[in-house]
Amino acid sequence: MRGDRRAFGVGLLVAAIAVATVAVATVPMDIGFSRGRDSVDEPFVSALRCGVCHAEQLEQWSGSRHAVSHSNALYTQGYIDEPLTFCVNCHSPLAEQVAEVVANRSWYLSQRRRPDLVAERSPEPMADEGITCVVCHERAGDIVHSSDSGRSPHQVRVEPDFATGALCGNCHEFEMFAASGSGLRFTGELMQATLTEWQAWRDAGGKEQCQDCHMPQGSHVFRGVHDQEWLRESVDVRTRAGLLRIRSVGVGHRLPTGDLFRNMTVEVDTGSGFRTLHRMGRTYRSETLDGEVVKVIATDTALEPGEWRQVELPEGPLDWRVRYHYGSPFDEARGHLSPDQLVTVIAEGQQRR
Amino acid sequence: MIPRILTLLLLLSPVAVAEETVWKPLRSSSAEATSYLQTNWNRFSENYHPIYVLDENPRTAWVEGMDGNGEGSVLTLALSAVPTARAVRVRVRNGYQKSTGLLTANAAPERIRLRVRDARGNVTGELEATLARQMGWQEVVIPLNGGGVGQVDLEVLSVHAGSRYRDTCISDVLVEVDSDSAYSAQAEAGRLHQANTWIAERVAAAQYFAGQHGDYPFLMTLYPYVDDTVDVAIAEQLISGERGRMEALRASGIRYDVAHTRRMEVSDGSREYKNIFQHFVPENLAWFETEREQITHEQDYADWGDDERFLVREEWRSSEHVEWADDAQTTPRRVHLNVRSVEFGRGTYLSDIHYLLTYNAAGRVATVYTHDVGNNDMDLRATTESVYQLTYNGTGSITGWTRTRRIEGPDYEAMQAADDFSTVIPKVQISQETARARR
Repeated sequence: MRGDRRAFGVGLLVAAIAVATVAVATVPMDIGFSRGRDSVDEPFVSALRCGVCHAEQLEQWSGSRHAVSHSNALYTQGYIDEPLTFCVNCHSPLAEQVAEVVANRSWYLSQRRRPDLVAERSPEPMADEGITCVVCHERAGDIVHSSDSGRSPHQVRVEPDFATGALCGNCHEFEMFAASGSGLRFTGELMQATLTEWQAWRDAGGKEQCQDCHMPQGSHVFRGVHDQEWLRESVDVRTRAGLLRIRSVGVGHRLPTGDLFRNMTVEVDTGSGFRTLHRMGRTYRSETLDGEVVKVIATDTALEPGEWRQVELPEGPLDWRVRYHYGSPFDEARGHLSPDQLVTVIAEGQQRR
Repeated sequence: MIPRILTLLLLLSPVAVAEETVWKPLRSSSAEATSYLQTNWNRFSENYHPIYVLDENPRTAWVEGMDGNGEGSVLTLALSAVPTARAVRVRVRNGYQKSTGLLTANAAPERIRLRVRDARGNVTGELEATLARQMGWQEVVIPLNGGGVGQVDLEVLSVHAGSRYRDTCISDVLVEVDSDSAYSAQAEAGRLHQANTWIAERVAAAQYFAGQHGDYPFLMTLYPYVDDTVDVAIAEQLISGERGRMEALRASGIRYDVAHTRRMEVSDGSREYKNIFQHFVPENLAWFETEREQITHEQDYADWGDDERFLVREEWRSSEHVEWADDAQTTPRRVHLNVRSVEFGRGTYLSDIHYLLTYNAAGRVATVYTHDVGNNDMDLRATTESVYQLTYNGTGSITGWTRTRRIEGPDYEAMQAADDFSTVIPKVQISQETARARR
C-alpha cells in the first residue's frame, strides 16, 4: 500500500471530517494504519531507545500484551495455522517487522507438519517488539501525541484523536476476508468489531474512551482480558433460586470482544464432570457473495454492556463455573498450547441444593 | 502401640515425607521420523510408520527405512505444550517386541540421545542413555528444571545389530511429565484416540484390499518420486493442450450424474486422487443425464462441546461432462468434473479443482489433468495445473507415471526484495517428476 497511502495532510483533512461527524460514528484516524491491509511505513526504532527518557512507559509497555503481540504463544500458533501477512500488519505492523516475519514464512509453514519443507527460523528481533512505541507514536519523523507539553526535546505533532478510540480502532476493528487472485478480498462483515461495539455503548450514554480503561492515567499497560485479575473484576456473577445471572461490569463493549473465536462458558458439574450450559460468543456460517463463499456471523451471544444474562441451573447440589476461552475448540483440542494458555476460570461456586 | 510408633517414624522419615512424583502422560496424535520402512508388508501404512510407537501395542513398531542399520535416525513426537516442568520420563519398548524371535532378528537402538524442546522449539533438556534389547518397558528421566515441553526427539546413536535384518525398530514410546502446569487428561486421551483412529483406518484398509487385486491399481504399490529435468516449452505445450481439451469438454452441453455399481474404499495413500478415484475403474460407474450443475454439497462441522456447531469445511461436487468413445455411449473417452471446497479458519480458503480424465483404448485412465485455483499456503491465490501420464504393465496394473506441473502464484522472494507485500508479483514454476512403482 506504499504507493496508495495517502499523504499525511490528506489524513488531517479526513480526520477533520471525522471530528465533524463524530456524533454519527467514530472512524479510525488516518495516520498510516490500514486495518491490517498494509504495514505501517515508518522505520523501526527499538522501544529501548525511547525508554532512555521514557523509562516508566517502557516498563509499563514491557509487561503489556502490546509488547508480546507477535511473540505470544497464542498468536504464534494462530499464525502457523494461517500465515497471513494480513495478521502481521497489526501484530508487528512496521514494514521492517513485517519483512522479518514474512522472510521466515517457510519456517512457519514447516511447523504445520509439512514434510516437504525444512526451514531454519531466522531471529525476529524487530517483530518480537510487537506494537512498539513508534507503531503509534512516530509518523514521518515526528512524534505524534494528543497534546504537547512544550518541554519535549523532539518535535511533537498534536493529534487530538490520538487519545480516543479512533486510534485503537485501526487495529481492533476489521473485516472478514477471503483470499482472492489479487490479494485479500474484504467482505464487509466485521471479524473484530470492538470500535463499533464501543460506539454503540457511547451512543447509549457511555462516557469513557478506550484509553480511560485500558491505559488508566495514561499508563502504557494496555490491560485487557489477559490480565486475569482485571478480567475477573469485569464480570458480576450471582446465583439464586436455581438461576445463574451474569453481567459485565465497567466494560464499554461486548464481552467477549476482539478475536472471533473468544467465548465464555457457564458450566456445571453435578457429579460427572463439568458440562457447558451456556456459551457467550459468536458462531459462523457460510454465505455466497458474488459467487464466492464467505464466512458470516450466524449467532452472537456475547454480553452487551450492562446486560444481565440469566442461565437456568439444574436442580440439586452442583459446582458451577464461568470460564473465558481465548481460542477456539480446535485450539483446545489440538494441544499445541497448554490449557492455562487457552482457558481461565473467572468465577466459580456451588449450589448446595 | 508399636504400629503407631512405626507409623509415626514412617511419617517422619524422608521417604515418607517426600511427595511421590506423579507422572502425567503426554500423548501425540501423530509422530514423525527421518524415515520408515516401506515394503509390500505395509502398503497402507498399517505398520512400521512412526505413529506405531504411540499405540502402546508391542506387536507394532516404528521401523526405520534408511540404508544401513539406522544410526542417525530421529523419531519426533509432538506433544502438548507444557510451559514449565521438573522432568520428563521417556518409557520405551525397545526393538520389535511382537515376539522374542523378531526382537533378535531386527536391530534395536542401543545408545540414544533424547532431546526435549519447548513449544517454540528451544531445547530445554537433553540426555544420552543406553537401552538394552529386551522385552518390556525401559525408562529414562530427563531433568528439565522448570523448562517447557512441546516435543521430544529420540536420536539413534548406535544399535544392537539384528541377527537377520538391518532395520532398527522401536515398538512403543510413552512420554510422561512431572509438572504443576495445567493438564487436561481429556485432551491427552483425545490425541491418543486420534492416533488410534488413524491406525485403525490403515489396518481396515489393508484388510479390505488384501482380498482385492487388479481393480485397484493405485493401491497396490507405493510411488517414490524422482525429480526430472524439464523442457519448459514441451511442458507448457502439454499442459495447455490438456487445458484446451478440458475447456472444450466443459463447454459441451450435456451433464451427467454418476452412480457406482461397486464403490471402492479410498486409502490414505490416494488422498490426492480421492475425488476421481472411482473413475479409475469406469466399468464400476454408470452415467445418466441430469440438469443439475452440482450433485453433492457436504458440510463438515466441529462441535463446540455443547449443542452449537462450528463450520470448518464445505465441498461442492459438480455433475460431469463425458466425451464417449463409442456411439452406444457406454465407454468414456474423457470425463470432466469440478470440485470446489472452502475451509474456514479466521479466514476463508477456497480450492476450485477441475479434473479431466482421458481413457486409453483398453478403458484405463491414460492421463489426468488437474486445474486447481486455490490458496497458496493460505495467503494469496495460486493456480496449479498438473498432467499425470500413467503407464501400465501387461496385467493392467499401473507401473508409474510422469507428473508435469505448472504453478502460477505469488513470488514471495521478489515481493520481499521490493519490500512490498501488497502488490502481487506473479511467478511461474514448471516441474516434472517421475514416479515408479515399488513392488
